[in-house]
Amino acid sequence: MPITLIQPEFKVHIDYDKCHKCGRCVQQCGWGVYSFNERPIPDDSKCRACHRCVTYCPAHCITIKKNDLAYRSNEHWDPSLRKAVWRQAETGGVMLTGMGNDRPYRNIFDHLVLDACQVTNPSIDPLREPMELRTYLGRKPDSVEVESDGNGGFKLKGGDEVARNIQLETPITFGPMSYGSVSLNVHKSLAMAAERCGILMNTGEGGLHADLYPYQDNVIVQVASGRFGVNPEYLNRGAAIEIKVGQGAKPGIGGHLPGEKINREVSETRMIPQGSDAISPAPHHDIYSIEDLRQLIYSLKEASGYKPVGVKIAAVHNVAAIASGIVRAGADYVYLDGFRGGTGAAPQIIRDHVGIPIEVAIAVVDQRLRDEGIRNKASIIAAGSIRSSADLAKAIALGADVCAIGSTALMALGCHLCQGCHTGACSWGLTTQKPELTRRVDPEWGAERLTNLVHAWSHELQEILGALGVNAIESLRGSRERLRAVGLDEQTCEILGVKPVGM
Amino acid sequence: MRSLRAVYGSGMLNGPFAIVLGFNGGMLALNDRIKLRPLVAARQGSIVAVASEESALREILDAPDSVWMPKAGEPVIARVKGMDWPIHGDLHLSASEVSCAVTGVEDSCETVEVS
Repeated sequence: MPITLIQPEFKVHIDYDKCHKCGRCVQQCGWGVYSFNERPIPDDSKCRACHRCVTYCPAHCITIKKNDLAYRSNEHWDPSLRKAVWRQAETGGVMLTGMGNDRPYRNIFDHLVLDACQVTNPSIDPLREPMELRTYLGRKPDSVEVESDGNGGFKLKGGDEVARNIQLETPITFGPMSYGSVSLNVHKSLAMAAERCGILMNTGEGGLHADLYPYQDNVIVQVASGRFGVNPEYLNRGAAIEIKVGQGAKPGIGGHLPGEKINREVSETRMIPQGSDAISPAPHHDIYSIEDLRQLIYSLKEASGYKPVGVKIAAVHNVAAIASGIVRAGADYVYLDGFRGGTGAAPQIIRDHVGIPIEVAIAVVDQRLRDEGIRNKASIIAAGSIRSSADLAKAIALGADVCAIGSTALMALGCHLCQGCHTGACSWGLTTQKPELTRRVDPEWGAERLTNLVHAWSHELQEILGALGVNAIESLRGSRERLRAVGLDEQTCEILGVKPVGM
Repeated sequence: MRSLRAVYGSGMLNGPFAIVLGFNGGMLALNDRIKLRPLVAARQGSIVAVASEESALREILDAPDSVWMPKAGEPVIARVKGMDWPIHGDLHLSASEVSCAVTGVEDSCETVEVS
């Protein structure tokens, strides 16, 4: 009987006339594609098209192509579905995968266009005029009340609630990716870049390694259902605390970091035994209602001297009502993660079929909070495949305060979206704990690339604002009038609060 | 200022404008932050006048004590001496708090000129 019915997805071609026979491809590939017998010999079935070997081949003699093996046409049975059936018939297991939903759902961002000024309201040149991107993350009071300071001037009445807000120099943060799922060098790169850009990185649920303490003012510390690495010191080190309820890539699903990834350092940071699986339950076992959530929010505030506490949820069908409850429970921000958001490991069937697009979630949550008069009580962080500064601008125009980038940040560090994060063999040294692979990311190099990315997007965002004739990011937030839809149906337009083009 | 900005940021006006606002006890004139529209102010004794062109001011004031062009986004506030602000009763803006310099006048008028 055949070992497998599944044919390789890619074909690795080496031009042996050009090949130096240096063996670098053998050394670089984390997936074990290459063996060496006088010359490198690829095993196509192991290739994930991550391009590590292609990038490092000194002779540029490696080409990776799609295996264009023909399948009998059947619109109903995409080859990927047939392969899934074969794979499950072989293994009997749940198929795991990494990164975000790759199915061809309509991408709403790609059907939205931004406005620009012509003649009557002049556009603004961001290179000549000030263009403000500074954003305050957290709860704002209903109004600013002042009283006389008895000295001819005035002072804020009853303490300054805004003082607890976190100031971001640009409306971008790095999405939560735990130490354990990604390497310490990735965490260091993110933390250093966050400090340089005046933004935040997010620990994810894996605790805060001591090497990141110098950057703690630019770190959101996460409290997830597994409570890994959570103690009073951890809570007090972060600039803000985030309760992770759900993740866009796997709403309703817990986490599982295999024991092989729990080395000594990860075990110390997570406070679990070395080599044991780190399992995050699907729910928080102390949260079964909004009232329970409120208790946890206020416990964390009490424990941390009233730091901002946010709540991260996956965007699901009833997201507006859930977000409203979260804000009423006392959260300083709501983090919405759309169904295209990435993951270090998730069941493929969940990743590809559960949750809703982030564009819709932002629009309905923003509208709901405005309708209820509580939009100022919390900021909205939106995530789930923000791919460019255009997505960022559109998300803000739909109502987000800040966007978080996770997959995009990993791409800045070399990720090629090969979807092999769950294997722990990442050739780019990102989602792995193998020392020979993790050392491929130099934190200084990583921080510079991430800083470049954030600065580039910020400049582009300034150009977009300038074209819109506004000179502060607040003027774009929730400004759906500056968006138009191309080819979206009437009902979707209505839900998004966006007019079709031409209106 | 940080609190005002954080709380009322979404109410900020963009685009070209010059606004003159009268209130019980005074007058306020304001331009957009990048001076896409013109604004000139002048004072003659107890009279403060604002216009988009200096020639208009010269038309109504024959010998102004001072004529100035306020910086973009910074207000000109003229108050009738002895009258309270319509809001916040006994509140007085201080130079340090609002980054406005006050040029006091002895007459019935007090001009708050932006530094």
